[in-house]
Amino acid sequence: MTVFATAVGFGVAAAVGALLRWRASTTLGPGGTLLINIAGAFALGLLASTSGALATIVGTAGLGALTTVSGIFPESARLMRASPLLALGYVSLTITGATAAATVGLRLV
Amino acid sequence: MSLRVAAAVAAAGIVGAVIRWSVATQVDDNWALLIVNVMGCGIVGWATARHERTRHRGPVRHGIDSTSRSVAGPSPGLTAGFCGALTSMSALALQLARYLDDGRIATAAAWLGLTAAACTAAFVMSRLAVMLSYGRRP
Repeated sequence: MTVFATAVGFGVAAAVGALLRWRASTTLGPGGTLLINIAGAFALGLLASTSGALATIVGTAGLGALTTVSGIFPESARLMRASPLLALGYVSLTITGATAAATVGLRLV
Repeated sequence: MSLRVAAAVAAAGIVGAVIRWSVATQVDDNWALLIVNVMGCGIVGWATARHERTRHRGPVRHGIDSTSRSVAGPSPGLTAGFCGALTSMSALALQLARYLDDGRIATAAAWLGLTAAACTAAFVMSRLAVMLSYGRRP
């Protein structure tokens, strides 16, 4: 794959990833971001053994932009106003769920 | 979905992803991920606090209901687009999963602790900086 094609693919994948996450969080709220983070971690686990343009485009750009750490903070801050336990559960579920999903993805390939 | 907002999220997402990739090419992967995650959390803290102060003249009081599900912030392009794509939970999860798979539990715990502490500090301190700067204004 040429550098130009990789760059275009990188941009398209990053844009699609960011849009999907934004759409999920605006329609489903914190649950949408949670699902996206877990699904993205699983997919990156599956891709972990790949390299080259595919890893850069799908892994770094697409799945990197699809999942987020910064988005967790405003959402958990909002949940904390309702219940600190809910916010703690949300953050814990995100980290453990994403790590478990990445582990499953790693072991499947 | 406003087309203009969607375009801003997509364009800012590309910029965020390019910066994350650029940092990863300059620094060791683990440190690069920590740097971009902390940067993104700091910017989101600044952006949300600034939005609360300028638009609502006080903290946003969102309930957990159907009307407050969108991500609060002055600009979805900046928060959801740029910061969302700059930071990466999947890369962090893969980093932790690899350490756990190798039986390096202490290393995984250390990276998780460092990331959580640094990101929380960046988010809280940038919010405090905004609160203090607005508090000083007449």
